[in-house]
Amino acid sequence: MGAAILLFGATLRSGAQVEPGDPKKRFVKVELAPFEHREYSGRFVADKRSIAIALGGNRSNLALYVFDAHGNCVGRDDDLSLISRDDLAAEWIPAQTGPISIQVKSLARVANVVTMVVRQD
Amino acid sequence: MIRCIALAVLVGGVVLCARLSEASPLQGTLIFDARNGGQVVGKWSRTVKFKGGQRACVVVMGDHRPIVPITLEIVDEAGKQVAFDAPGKGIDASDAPGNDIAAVIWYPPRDGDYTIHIGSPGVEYNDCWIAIR
Repeated sequence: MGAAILLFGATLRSGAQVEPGDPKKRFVKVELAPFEHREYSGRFVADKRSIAIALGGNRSNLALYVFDAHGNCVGRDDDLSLISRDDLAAEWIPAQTGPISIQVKSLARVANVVTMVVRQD
Repeated sequence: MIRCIALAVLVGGVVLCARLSEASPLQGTLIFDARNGGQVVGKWSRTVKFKGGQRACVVVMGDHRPIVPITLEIVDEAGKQVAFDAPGKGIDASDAPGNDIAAVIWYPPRDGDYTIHIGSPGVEYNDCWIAIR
């Protein structure tokens, strides 16, 4: 029941675009409300090292997940250690060229300003 | 009451030890910032012992004043590069957002010392946030 209320209360926003090759569109700065979930999507080229980095203001626990076009989780970072709870990085090499979904989640009751960068070598 | 406190201390200790044993750096997660050795001028290096077979990660963010293209390199005991990140590579503008945010992830095959090299061009201090996990 609690989890259902939590999920219902979470703000789901999807569709924001990131472009790993564009210096202006590879960078996102956003304030995550408590338990908020943001989703970004971008097109990634196959066989290239790809990385998503999300850094908060050391205020709350965050989690970072990367999904391919088929919904497979290809990268994640949800280490909840106390002193490094919002310094996240996920690295992956896409098997095929196509869309990738990147999710940043707040796991705490306080807001956190998150800086995120998505890149491909 | 005393039993409850003792139990809480015991549980807390077990949880803390479990977290430390999961951390890839043998001494646990390390953070360097402007007040704690995270000032980078030109080059910053630190050798840390990592646990074999576990995810090792270093995340670096500059102070954005100004944005400079940093580099992050991990070298093993033999001097071999095991991970490298250069966020400004291929970007024309050196002050493009994101150029001073770098991260690497690798899996050490066995316990060993790895040296972290961070490069920050220029003569000004770059107050970096460095998380070693």
